Amino acid sequence: MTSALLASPYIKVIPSILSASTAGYARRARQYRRSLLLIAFVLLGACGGEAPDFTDVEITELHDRM
Amino acid sequence: MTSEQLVAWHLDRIAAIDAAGPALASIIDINPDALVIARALDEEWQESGPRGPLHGIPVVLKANIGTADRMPTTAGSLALLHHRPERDAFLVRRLRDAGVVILAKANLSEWANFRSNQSTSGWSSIGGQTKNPYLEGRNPCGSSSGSAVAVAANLTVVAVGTETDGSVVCPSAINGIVGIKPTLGLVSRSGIIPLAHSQDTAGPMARTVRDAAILLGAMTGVDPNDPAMSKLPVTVGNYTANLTAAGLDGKRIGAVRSYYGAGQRPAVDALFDQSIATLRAQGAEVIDDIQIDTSGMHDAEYEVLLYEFKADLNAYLEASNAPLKSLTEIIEFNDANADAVMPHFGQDIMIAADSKGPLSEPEYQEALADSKRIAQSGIDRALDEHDLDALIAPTNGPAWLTDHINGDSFSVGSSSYAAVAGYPSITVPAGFVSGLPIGLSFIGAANTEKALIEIGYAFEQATRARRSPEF
Repeated sequence: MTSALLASPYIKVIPSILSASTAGYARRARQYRRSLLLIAFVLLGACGGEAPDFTDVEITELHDRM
Repeated sequence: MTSEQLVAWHLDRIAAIDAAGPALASIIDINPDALVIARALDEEWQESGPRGPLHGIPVVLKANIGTADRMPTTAGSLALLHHRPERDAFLVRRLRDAGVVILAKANLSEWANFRSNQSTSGWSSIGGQTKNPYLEGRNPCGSSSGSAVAVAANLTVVAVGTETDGSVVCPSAINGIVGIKPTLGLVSRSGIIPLAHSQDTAGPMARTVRDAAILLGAMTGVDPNDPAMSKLPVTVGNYTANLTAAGLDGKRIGAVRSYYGAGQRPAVDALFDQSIATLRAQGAEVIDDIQIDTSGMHDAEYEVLLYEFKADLNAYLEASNAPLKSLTEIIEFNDANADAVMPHFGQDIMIAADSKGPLSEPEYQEALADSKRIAQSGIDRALDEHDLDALIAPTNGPAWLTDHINGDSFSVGSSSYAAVAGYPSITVPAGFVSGLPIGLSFIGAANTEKALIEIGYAFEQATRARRSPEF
């Protein structure tokens, strides 16, 4: 699982944010925090097993599945 | 399946294609409590059943909609980077009561695109440039850019946008989804960073008409703090009760041919003709070549927006806990932080608005009366003269290339009729031009959302025009 996570696109977010140059410190800090949050969520999700695919599923069908 | 799984799946997708990969940049803030909220809603469902059709469903909010949580409310501006309102916007309270999970805040055209005439839609100084998911170099339109892209790219189930003129329907159409701009006053504006109270409204954005209608039903509710609501009959209700594929049978529809860009884009005109043929095939009678004279409306509208932006924003900032208290202070902040705030375009509209006087001035009063009279009488006359249920027009042209040097290049539009009148409109995917989505707008008289939704649903069932962007 670790190798899969390291190869995932989420990890690549951090260097791209650190190298961002046009927007100012506050915005970069904000983006960095968002990416850390996403990585934490992804790590949590990885412990939960395979999730179903919810692409283009309507609200009523989602409720039918719940 | 649980709401927690649903939320986790969407967060995973945001990480994969919004923050990385094609980097759509539709999301400006993630709700750090989203999974915890989802888990609590799952437990509640187990114990006492669902609150309603939105229980446990992820919703993304445009970043000018106030939330009293750990996400700031910024309108995309660095000037409000740390602004956390003390109360949820009224519509957010309604949604939380309905059991939604506020998943994230969406990027937008900064200040709802009321900063510069040279602006690029979907760009903000906090969120950067949101991309069109159908072709990433193309523009997502705005100002509810992130809300539309997040829905189109399956980063959320539904989203809420706001519109003053086109900001729900244009990004919805150009990203291949459904958007509803309600009658002025149907949805409360309390707690939303304002642009202009005589035209502002929030609206639902979704991949299907049914989902948009469900969200609209949860957003409505009488707010005593919004003066526009007292002028309306109570129309809160169930907008999905009568959705049927036969909803076009016997309807009378007027095809407006005086929309912006008419006759300039043959492929859009051809798609419009094809949509009319579909409506007729479904049993509607279409009266073609409706002309609505809007001479003088746009100049009057712009004058109204300049006046109201200053008055409304100043009132919002003064009453809130925002760090800056006036439009003047926002302009000074932007000047002091020009490198970060204005790398692509300036703030000429803000400066023009700040030069305006109070709303008691005759110039404002006359412009407001003129703009409303021209827009409302134009729609009313067309509907009455031909005994119509709705008007139709193309919502948009194909998405233009995002260009931070020259700004936006709108080619086709029809939002202003309903936006200025304060009347409802709904855009439904109609097809594609060169692989880029085009929407069809259904416009009606005040408080005809239910009828427009039923007509839009039947058109959607007949066409099934939406296709997901591919990643």
